Amino acid sequence: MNLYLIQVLNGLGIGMIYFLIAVGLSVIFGIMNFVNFAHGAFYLLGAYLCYAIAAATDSFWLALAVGPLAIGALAWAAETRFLCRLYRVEHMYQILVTLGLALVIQELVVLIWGPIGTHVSAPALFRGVLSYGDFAYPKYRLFVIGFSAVLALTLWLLLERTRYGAILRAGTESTEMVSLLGIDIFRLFSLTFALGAYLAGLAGVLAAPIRGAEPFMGPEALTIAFVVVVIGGMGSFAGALAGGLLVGVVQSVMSSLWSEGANVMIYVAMALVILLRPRGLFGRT
Amino acid sequence: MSAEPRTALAVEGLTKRFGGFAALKHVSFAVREHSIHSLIGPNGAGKTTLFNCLTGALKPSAGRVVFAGRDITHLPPHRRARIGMGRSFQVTNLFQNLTVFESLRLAAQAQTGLAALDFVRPKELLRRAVANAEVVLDRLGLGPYRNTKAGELSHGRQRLLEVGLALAVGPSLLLLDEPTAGMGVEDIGAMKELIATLARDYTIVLIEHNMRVVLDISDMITVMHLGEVLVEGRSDAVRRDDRVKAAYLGSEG
Amino acid sequence: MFGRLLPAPAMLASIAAVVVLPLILPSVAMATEVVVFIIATLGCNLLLGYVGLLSFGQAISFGVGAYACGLALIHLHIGVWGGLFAALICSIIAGLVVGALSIQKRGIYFVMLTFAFSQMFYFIAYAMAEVTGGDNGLLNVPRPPLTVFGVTLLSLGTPLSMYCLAAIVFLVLFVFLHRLVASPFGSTLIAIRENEERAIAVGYNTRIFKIIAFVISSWVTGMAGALYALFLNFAPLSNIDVSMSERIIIMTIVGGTNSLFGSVLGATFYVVVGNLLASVWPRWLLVLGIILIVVAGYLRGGLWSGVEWTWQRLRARWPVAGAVEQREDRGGA
Repeated sequence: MNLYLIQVLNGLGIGMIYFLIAVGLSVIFGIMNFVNFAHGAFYLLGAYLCYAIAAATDSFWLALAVGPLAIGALAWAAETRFLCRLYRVEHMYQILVTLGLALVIQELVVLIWGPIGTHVSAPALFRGVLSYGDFAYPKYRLFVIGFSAVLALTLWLLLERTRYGAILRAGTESTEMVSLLGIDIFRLFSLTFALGAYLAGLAGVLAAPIRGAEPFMGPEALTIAFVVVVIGGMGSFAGALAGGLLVGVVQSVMSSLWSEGANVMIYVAMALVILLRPRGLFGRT
Repeated sequence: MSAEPRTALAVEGLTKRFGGFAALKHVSFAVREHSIHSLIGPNGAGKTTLFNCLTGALKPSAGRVVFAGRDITHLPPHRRARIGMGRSFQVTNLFQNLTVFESLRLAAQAQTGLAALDFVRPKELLRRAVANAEVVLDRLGLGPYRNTKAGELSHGRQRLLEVGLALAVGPSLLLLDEPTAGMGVEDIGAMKELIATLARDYTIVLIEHNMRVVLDISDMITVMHLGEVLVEGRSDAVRRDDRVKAAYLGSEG
Repeated sequence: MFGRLLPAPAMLASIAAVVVLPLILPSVAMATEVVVFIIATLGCNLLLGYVGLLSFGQAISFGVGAYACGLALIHLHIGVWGGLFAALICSIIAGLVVGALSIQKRGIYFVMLTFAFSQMFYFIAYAMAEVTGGDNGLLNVPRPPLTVFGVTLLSLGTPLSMYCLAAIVFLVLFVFLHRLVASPFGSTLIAIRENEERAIAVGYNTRIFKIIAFVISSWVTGMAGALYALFLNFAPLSNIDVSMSERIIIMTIVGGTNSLFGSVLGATFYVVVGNLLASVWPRWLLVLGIILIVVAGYLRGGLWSGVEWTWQRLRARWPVAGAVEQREDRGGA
């Protein structure tokens, strides 16, 4: 019983991280119709910046505050410099250019920090386990669940209660409409792309004390993000959340039951969703 | 030889609902062979929905479409071309990067059945398709443009090619969706002539907004309004009908 | 009609490429690897360049072809023909299953579907370790001599004879594909790429055409996989990893999707530059990443369009009277 509880908790934690990666990808595709294969690289950078900043300043919190912002800024620069030229172009070129960007980032990471991964410690405040009678669970993982929940709420408020959020939601329905309303669509795209990258970087920072930092973790994150986006529904916040948690928990629980099957099942689910209900759980038709 | 003109296309009780909204309500009419039958009506009358049911793009909620005595209501779009229904699009929908001749040849090739699956012979050797394409090219007067890419043609000639692709299918029925859309005055005249001469060999169902063209060349006009058939008759009858005027003026009020 | 297999320039160019490669490359082994990936890229190009379908399923066919050939040679003790035939059957079946299902959707959904299938096959191959060798891969794939009715055609013991096998398979497949794209079937694929809705409206059952194209693409890539297994005497798990699909897609786009010759360029470029740079600087992928960004941004016709551009500039400067012009046309009359 305890084992399942632990697995479910693990699943929730990793599911929230999946949500943070996926929500950016989902919105980027939903609004900009842009397939971003560099998204995993933002996650990778998040993990490494966490390692680097924490190692240099001994403060995880600084890494959490600053790292994702730096990644968002980098993404903004990339988008405004050359990615924006590719919105009207066929998906294959978008994939090519973002794959290229992902490769460049990955190789720079290896150049700077070496090809072998590294361990990242949890912040002092949350080291160790929380005990409740017989049951013990790492404090840091609980923090991740709690912090991500707060973050999800903040994002939700951003989407539902602010002007930017309203524009974003309108944008997932029709960018034409939004630009006809006089809103600078290119600024919107840049901001959205940067926000997506920020969230992916944040996910990387949060994941680092759990998974460590390793130069080839980008593609795996990207792949899972695709699964979550498809299952949850493209362009949907609720979809990214529900999809992320679902995939996280199922993956976690299955890994102790039948680990090879777990991975196959996830992709079978992805294929079934596309075939039978392409809009996913919460997406629009 | 029977003197009785036959029905090429019949629509019986066609109904189409989108959720709670009925775009078509029990629409029925018959199109005589070798006639030009126009569908008109103000915006929202259901012409496009009806046209889509005829081409197979939409499945009706109820009713039948009968072509040459055969119930084709549920026949998929590509099969309709194969049994003799050629269609053109309202918004130009060509093979932009392919030449005029190749576009026509492709349309003709689709009718060759299994020969289109040939992956060994050069396509120029499929003589039936090449010959049919030449005939249509001639008929449209697009000979000088045979090697021009469709996307590089003037708008008027693109609309001609639109009709041409429907012709190259070797149909007995032509479904033309606003063939004169966006055309200049001289081009419209030429299109009108073309359609009129085509009626000798084909049955033509036309959606049009250009009243001059409709009233001039139609043998029969079906006026639609709010998803139903309002009036059906010959040009003069329709022109003078008060209900038609009310429908158009009312909806533009 | 079989008097001339291909127009003379195309035939000459492909034979020349095959003859020249082992001469100019540092090793015959590298030339073999190049040819294997040229074949894989041709398979991808058929779908991407001529039908307009971006599929992440190349790794499925490549991996299945490699496993099928390897397993047939190891367990069934049939010769090279048998191995190639096993790869043919299995990659066609895989292509049929994945293709028939994936074609149900279009656009980004089609792409994601092929991606999902690719991952599925990867994890299944990983799980079936008793058959595929799992993480370790399928080891000790034999390379028996190529015989016909007991007569040895190629011993396949030397790198050069292995290269000859790859080269022959390439030439056969190249002729096949070159004729295919110029045929009625090929012209229909192009029509589907240009405007599928119109292709349907004029009477084509586009679904069937797309599935057939998918199966042919899968078969061609599967043959590449089989050759790779013979070449390496080994079928690694990475053959069926989605990153292999990415690699092949990169080769296809960088080479140029406008022409089959683009595939020759793209694969040669990737394998040669990759091998050469990698030995000098392990972080050569950084250079590749920059190249990808440049190609996507500025040279969308790929390397082949660069070649065509240069060729046209040269002809403008030095016109040669009566020259036979070979134009790889994608869609003209």
